[in-house]
Amino acid sequence: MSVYVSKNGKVSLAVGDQPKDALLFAPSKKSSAQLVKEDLSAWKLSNSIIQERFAKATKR
Amino acid sequence: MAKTKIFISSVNEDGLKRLRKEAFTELRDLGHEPLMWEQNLGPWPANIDPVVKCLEAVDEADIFLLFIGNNGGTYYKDAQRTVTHMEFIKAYDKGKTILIFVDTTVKNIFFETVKRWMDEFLEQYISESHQHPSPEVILSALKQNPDIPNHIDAYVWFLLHDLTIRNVYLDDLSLGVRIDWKEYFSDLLRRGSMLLPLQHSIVENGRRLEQSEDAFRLLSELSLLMQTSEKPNYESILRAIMNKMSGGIIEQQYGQYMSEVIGSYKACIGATLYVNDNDKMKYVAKCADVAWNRSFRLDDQSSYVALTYNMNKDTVHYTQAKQMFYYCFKRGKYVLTLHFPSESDWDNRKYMIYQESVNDAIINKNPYLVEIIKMILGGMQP
Repeated sequence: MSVYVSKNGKVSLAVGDQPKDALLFAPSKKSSAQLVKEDLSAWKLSNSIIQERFAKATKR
Repeated sequence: MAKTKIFISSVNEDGLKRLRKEAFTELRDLGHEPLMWEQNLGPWPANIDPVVKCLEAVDEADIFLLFIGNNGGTYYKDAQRTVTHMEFIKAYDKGKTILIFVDTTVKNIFFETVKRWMDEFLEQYISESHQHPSPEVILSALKQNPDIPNHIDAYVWFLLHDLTIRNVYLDDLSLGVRIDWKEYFSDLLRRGSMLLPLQHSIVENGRRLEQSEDAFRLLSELSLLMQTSEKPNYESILRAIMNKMSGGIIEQQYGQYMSEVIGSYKACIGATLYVNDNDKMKYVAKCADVAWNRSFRLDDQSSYVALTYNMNKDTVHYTQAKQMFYYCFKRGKYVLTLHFPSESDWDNRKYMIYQESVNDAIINKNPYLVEIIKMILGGMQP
């Protein structure tokens, strides 16, 4: 992902060495809402796998 | 390599002696480490309490194996339980793998008649006296019941009833018929092998649970702060948020194969809140000793507040001069910024190489917490 720099009141792509007081940033690929959505899906899937596996392992 | 320690428990009765000895020998020959009173546990010097030693041995064991026949064993009045029963309770409490074999005759009588009678007795006793009967009362009632065979110790029924309440599986034990331990432990290995690969999923779910708990606690704190006055106490809200934002390590991921720690950041030391007002971002509040401006113009490209408002994306900014990461996010008309000091080994060059790892570490640390904060900001009227 590209890194941007804000210096002298202008934002540009950060290339090469940057001054110490420059503001560097790179927007996140995903928002917290997307991360929560993905994590909740993974949580549900993981739970169902655990339950299924325990059911098989404890079957008599 | 560690061996599986198997505690072999049972009442000392003639019918079970041979079985216990065979089990000890065969389990030892299979490469396990069985622990049994008459083989390798006791006796101890007179000043040592054997019950304490047996319970310690149960605690050390990986598997608790119990044989139940006709005898209940030695009853300890203080504990209101037999030693064997206490050993089982210790194993259950410590979450050990528990294997219980019950003489089929005893088991059949218990499930056909005794269990139902005990359930009814307990229900009636509790409804009449509004308390649970003591073990002595239950044992006395069992002994006085002519329908319950008296050649089996009443304590056996009491023990079996406790086992069924705890949903412990009871295997059949036919005295005189050899138990195939090879087959039994192969099945146990199969079951364990199915569960061991779940370790990562279980650990991950534990992490998610902790994240959710943190978010829930913050929600409780913030909702209290929002109720106390007509106008939100922004500084207290920011302080509650700041206090939940811990530091952490920053890792570079190499696909799904491995990760490398490349640095860390410290816990949040302050926060600012700005709100959009026409072409400006106007200062609302701050907490702790962090820099602030009365306002920023929306086209001010040197302001991380204005940049975040315009980009409308969660963003971490960094300045080497201040050794600081600024985690900014927008919700509605608000931009909240959390200030996280970087460790001293960070500089512009390192940030440019690892910016994705920085975003991952700070933004992904607890997205549930961030979503809660955004919900609260979304509900606030400018």
